[in-house]
Amino acid sequence: MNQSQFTSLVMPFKDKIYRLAKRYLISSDSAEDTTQDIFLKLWRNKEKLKTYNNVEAFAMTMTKNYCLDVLKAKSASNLKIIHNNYKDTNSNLDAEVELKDTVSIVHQLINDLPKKQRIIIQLRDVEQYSFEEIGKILEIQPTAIRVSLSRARKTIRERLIKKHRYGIN
Amino acid sequence: MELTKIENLIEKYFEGNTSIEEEKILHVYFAQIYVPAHLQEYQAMFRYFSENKREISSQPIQVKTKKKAWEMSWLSIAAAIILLFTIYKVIPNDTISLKERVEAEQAFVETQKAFQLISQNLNKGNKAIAYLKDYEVVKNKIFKTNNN
Repeated sequence: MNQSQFTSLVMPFKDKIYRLAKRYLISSDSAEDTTQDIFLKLWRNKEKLKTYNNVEAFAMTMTKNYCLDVLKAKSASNLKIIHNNYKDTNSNLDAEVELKDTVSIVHQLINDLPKKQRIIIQLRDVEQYSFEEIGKILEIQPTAIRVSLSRARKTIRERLIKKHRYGIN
Repeated sequence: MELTKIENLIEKYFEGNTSIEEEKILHVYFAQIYVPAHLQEYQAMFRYFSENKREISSQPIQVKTKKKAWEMSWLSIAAAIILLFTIYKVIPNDTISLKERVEAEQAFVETQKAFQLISQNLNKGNKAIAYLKDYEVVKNKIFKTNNN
């Protein structure tokens, strides 16, 4: 497998890996580093890649494990991941302004969820993976995913409504 | 009609029972700017999901890093060798230099010569002592000693 074949194989899910890593690690920079490392690892094992029937799910699982290791190392060294990457790319339509604020609140609410729920939301509502695929990536039972997903979605809704009623604090 | 359908889908969505197709319908619905007030929280959620999906990694994939690391290690080995060589060359070592060694050897040879001269003169004195022995013999012939 040469480099261009490898790139065409892995390019379709590069951003998914980046987004998953960012959901775990919060920081954009850490997510970029993780993406690089994951692709480097895939490149080193490029001959083995052909034998996997679902390279994407395999790469996503690798990303999950990698991020968990990073988080473990971070908590061991008692470091907090610093992130300063909130950006809005919306156009400045007046009708959109309030919505934009609420959208960035959603971002915060998702990041406040328990890690497992956060990742399941990412994989389902953003990446739109099936429950089977999510189960494969996270190495958990597909039946458990629906419960966590429902819980996560409801939590976001409740907190969002609360913020709306009592104002933003 | 459309609205009740959306509301039912939302209900299902929060129970985790919607299919991916149904969720796509919700994504499309909430992509429009104006939605009824009671659905605005959901709009924020779905907007966020759609927006997040557009977020991309800005760095190109680099798979040649490994080779680069090798080049780096060779560079560092070369640098280390040069550094050691420079230290060896520049810093004067504690043992004597070649010039000093030659001078010391010359001095040693000179000293040896001087000692030899002294010892030759000493040997001259030894010859004189040999005459003293003859004198002793003659003396014994003339004066009889007690034990004879």
